[in-house]
Amino acid sequence: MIFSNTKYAMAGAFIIMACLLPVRTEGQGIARRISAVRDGKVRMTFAAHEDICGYDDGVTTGYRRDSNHRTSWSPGRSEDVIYDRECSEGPVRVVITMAAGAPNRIRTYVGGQWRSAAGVTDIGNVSVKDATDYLLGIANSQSGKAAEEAIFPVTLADSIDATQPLYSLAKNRSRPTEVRGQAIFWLSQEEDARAVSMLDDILKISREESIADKAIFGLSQHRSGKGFPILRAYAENENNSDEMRGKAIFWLGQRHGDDRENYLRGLYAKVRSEELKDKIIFSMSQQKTADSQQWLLDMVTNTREPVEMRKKALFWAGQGGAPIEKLVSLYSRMNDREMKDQMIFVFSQRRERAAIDKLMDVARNDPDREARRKAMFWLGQSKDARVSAFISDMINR
Amino acid sequence: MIATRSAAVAAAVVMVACAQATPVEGQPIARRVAAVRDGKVRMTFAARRDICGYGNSISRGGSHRMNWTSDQSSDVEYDDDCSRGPVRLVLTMDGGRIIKLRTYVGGSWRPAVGGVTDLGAVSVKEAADYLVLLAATDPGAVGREAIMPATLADSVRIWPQLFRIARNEDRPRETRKQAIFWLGQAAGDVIAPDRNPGKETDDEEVKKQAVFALSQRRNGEAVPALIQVARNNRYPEVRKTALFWLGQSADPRAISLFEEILSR
Repeated sequence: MIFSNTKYAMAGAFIIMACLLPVRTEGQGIARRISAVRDGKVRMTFAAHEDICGYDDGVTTGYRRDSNHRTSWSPGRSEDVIYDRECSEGPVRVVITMAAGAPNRIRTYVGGQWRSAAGVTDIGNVSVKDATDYLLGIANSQSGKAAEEAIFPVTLADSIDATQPLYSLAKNRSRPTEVRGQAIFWLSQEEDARAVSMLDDILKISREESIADKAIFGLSQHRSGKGFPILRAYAENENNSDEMRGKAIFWLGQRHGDDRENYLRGLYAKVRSEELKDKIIFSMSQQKTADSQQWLLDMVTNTREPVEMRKKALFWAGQGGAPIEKLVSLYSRMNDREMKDQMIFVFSQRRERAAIDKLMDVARNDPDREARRKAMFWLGQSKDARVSAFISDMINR
Repeated sequence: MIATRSAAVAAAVVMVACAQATPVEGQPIARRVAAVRDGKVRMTFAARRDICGYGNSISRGGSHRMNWTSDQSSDVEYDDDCSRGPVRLVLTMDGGRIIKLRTYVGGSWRPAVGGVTDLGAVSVKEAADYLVLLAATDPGAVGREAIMPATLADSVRIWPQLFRIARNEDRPRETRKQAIFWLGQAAGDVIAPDRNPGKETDDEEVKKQAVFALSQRRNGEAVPALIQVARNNRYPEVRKTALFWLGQSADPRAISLFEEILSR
């Protein structure tokens, strides 16, 4: 009886003590258990948020909503996890490779089953809070690949707000640029609407171009599309460097649809820097619509535009698949030597028979000797079977 | 191993030089060069009349400039941008073997700074024989570098020896390519000596570009087509251009054509 009472009393004391312990103890417990492994792999699992599933080398998010946003990060087959289906739901599986008592690499998987392996420490299933506290601790304190790789699994954890910690990490100037870059990237993948204003904030306060660059990219990637108005304002702001404005223009050009073409046309008329004009021409070429191609061709013939811009427009029109017939018809309107040279080069880069026909026509009939010489040069590089006979005929006639 | 091989080549050069039909003229250069262990050996010999030099380049016929070194001459100084002969040869010796051969035309020697042996003016025939011998025996870059100065020597005929080198599959590929290149140049000179450099008509200019375009065809059709142009085109300069590009081809049919032209 006494024994029995003592037993109950001790059990009660354990429960009371457990309740009094601070929440951090468990997270610290994970850290302690992992750092007890000096060299080798440590495995753990924790709950994944819904609507994600894993396969060999990647994770699909939004599959329940049919948005199927697939992220792959390793080219090969998983060495830690085995899958028996294409879309395997949770848990998150994290493998920490320890070297000399410190995390060296962190690999993340979703779903599947652990492959059997010798010499691996498995700490089993841990709470989401413990896991994310531990991983964010690495991202906030360590350097090297492990600090970068610690961020991604945090974004997969169930029922936690990753947005704020990612934002804090992204802004933290004491952290390595690569770690901050990872934080910005994953912030851009958060569906949380606050992420856009956070990225905007990072862009505004960033002193390093590499961080600004990542923030620009992040704004372009946010699924809400709300980053684009911010990028437009950034691209128009003459206080920003041309290089960074150019990056904003580049990403503005990568998304098709809505009034993007009209916007880029308007921006071209506004900007003064040739570097930015160049970027806009490129962005227009990426739209690959009949309107954008026509805009480029109009620029080619617009003698009020600088020759360099006209040449770039011609180059990108040629690369972007502007109809060869239209390009051929423009040749006779090129009075400028540089534009003629560029057009001959553009013909040389096209595979259509009509392009070779035009080069042969120029080589044979253009009154400008240099144009004939250039056309002949490019004909020599062509794989068209008709060319050898044509050249021989030109030499011997 | 390399030193032993080079020493053997040097000995072979001396021995072959001794066995030449003109031993009295041919011997001394090889022997005098072989006597120098380290440093530079200079010599001069008469240059063809149609060439002149400046710094790192040699011009032919007043307009065809050929550059073969990228840095400024460390051996010769010039006060004229087209300085007529002689050909100046500088051999760099290391442990009794020749490791580098440089060629200049005209100018005057820079003052020698230690370790320079000047053989003075040597006879054209002796120099050409020596250089061709190097080309026929040296296993490395020196053999290749010896061919060009041999082609600059005045009034000597070295083509028969160059054809032998060009066709000798035991010679290094680069040396054979050099021999073929200079044979092509020589054949071109026979077809079209520099008459009116830079005075080609537009038509000739475009045809020359067309010959280049033809040379770039990659399906094996270039060589026969270039030979046809070299034989039959009505413009000598166009034929010469075809010979130039044939000289880049290292094709046996091109070598036969060069021989045919140079044997006329």
